[in-house]
Amino acid sequence: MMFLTTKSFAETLQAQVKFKLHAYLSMVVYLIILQVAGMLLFLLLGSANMSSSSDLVEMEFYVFTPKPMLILSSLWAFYVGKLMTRHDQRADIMPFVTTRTLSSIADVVVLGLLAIFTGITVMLSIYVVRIIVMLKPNQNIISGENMVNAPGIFIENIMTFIVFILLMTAIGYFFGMLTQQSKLWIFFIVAVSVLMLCSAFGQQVLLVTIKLAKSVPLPLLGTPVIASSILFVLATLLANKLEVRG
Amino acid sequence: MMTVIQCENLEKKFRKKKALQNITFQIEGEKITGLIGRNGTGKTTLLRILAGMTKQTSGTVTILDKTPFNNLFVSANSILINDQMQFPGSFKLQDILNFAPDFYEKWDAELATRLLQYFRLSPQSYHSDLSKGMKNTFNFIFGLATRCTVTMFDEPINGMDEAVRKDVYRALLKDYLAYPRTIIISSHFLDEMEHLLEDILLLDEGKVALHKSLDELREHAIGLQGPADVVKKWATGFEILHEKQLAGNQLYTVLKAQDCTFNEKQLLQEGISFIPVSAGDLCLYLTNTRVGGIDDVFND
Repeated sequence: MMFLTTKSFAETLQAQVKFKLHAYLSMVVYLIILQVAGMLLFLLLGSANMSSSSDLVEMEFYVFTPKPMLILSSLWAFYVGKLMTRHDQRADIMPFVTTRTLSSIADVVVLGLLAIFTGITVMLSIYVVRIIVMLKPNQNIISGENMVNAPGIFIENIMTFIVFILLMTAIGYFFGMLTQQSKLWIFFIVAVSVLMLCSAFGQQVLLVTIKLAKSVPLPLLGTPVIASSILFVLATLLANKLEVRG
Repeated sequence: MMTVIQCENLEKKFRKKKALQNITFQIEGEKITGLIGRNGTGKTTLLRILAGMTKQTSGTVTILDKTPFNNLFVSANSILINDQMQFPGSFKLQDILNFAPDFYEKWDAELATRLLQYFRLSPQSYHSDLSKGMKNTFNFIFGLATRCTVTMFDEPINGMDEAVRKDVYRALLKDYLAYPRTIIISSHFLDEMEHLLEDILLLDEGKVALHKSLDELREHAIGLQGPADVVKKWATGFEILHEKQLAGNQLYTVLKAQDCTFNEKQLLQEGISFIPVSAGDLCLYLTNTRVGGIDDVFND
C-alpha cells in the first residue's frame, strides 16, 4: 500500500527559507566586505568637510553620513534580488520539494530578512565609524543622535534603511524575473528609461508620478513598502510561468 | 491497483518543434518501468513534465491523480534525478543530506550515509567539484534515499564506470524490494538493466512506440538466421523489423512474432536457427528509421 506524504505550505516554506538562507550565506559575506569598504570610504572621505582657523587654533569639521555604505548595500541588494531569479539559482531548489509560487515566496521572505539584516548593519556601522573617530587623536564627535539620546530617530533611521534596501531587492527581483522571461525586456527598460529622462514628456510624467506618490496620504515609508509589495507580487506571478529546466 | 501516472494525448511543443505528440499511457501500482528511446525522442521532456518542471502544451497528465505542474503534493511525493541536477555551490554533500529530511518525510538518512561511504564519496566534498560519474552517483543516492512514491531517474548511470553501475543497479533493486514504489528509469543501457525492469515504455520520435511488460516484449519478435534465400522465403508475409546480411550468404532477420507459427523442426532442417532477440536490440530495431547499417556507409 502506498504511503503518500502531505506537506503543508507553511512547513515547506519554512524549510525553504532555512535552505535558502544557508545557500545565500556567502552573499552576506560579500555584504560585510562591501560595508567595510563603505566604512573606509566613509572615514577617508566623509561626506563634507570645512575648516576654520585663527592664529592659534585650527579646526576642521567633518560631516559623516552613511551614504557610501547605503549606496554599496543598495547595489548589493539589487544584485542579490536579481541573482535569485537566475536560472541556476532557481534550479538549486528543484531537487527539493517545491513549487514555483512557494519558491518565489521563500525568495521574498529571504530577501526581506536580508534587507532587515542589511538595514541594521548599515545603521550599526555608523557606530563603528564613531568609535574609530573617537580613537583618533585630536578628534571628537560634536553631535549626532544616537540610540541612547534619540532612540526614536534611531529606530526611524533603521526602518528607513530596511525599507529602502527592501525596495532595491524588489526592483532587482522583478527586473531579474522580467529578463528571465525575455532578454528583450532589458533593452525595453533601458530604452524607456532613456526616453523618460531625455524627453520633456517623459520628465513631465515622472514629475506627475512623484507628485502623485507624495500626495497619497500614507506614512513616509508607506510608498516604498507598497511599491516593493507590488514588485514582489508581479515577480511571483511571472515566476509561476517560468519552467525550470533540469 | 492505483493508477500512479496517467497521460492522455500529451503534447509538448518547443516553438514549432513537437517534442512529444499524442503520448498516452498509464502506469499502475509499484513497478520499475524503463523509459527507452533514441537520443532526442522526448524522454527527458516527458520526465520533466511528469516531475512538474515543464508544462505540457496540450493533453492531460496526472501523477497520483494530481496535475504535476506547480503542485506541492506531487512535488512532495515525486522526484526526478538527472545529471543536470544542481545544488547550491556553497553546500557540501553533508549539507545537502542534512537538509533533505526537512523536505522529504520518508528520507532514509542511514541509507544515504552508508551508500556515500560505500561509494567513497566524502561528505565534505562540494557537489560542483565532483566528477560526472561521482556527481551522478551522489544524485542517485539522493534520489533513492528520498523514498518518494514516484522516483524518476533520467540517464542516472551516465559517466559511471561498470563496477559502480552494477552496484547502483543492485542498490536500486534491493531498496525497491524493501520499499516498493513506482520507479521510472530512462537509459541507453537497456541490456544492463533489463533484469530490473518490469515494463518498457518505448518512445520514438516523440510518440509512444510501445508500452509492454518485459515478458510481452520478449515475445514481440523472433530472430531467424540461415541461408539468405531460405530465410527470405520463410519471412515472406511477415513484418520484418530488422535484417542484416552476414558472411557466407547468411541472413539474420528479426520478424514481428505476432501470428508467427513456424514449424521449428522444418526450419532446423533447412539450416535456419532461432536467435533470441534481446529487449535492447528489439527496441533498437523498432526505433530504427535508417535504411541499412553503418557498414553500408563504408561500402562502395
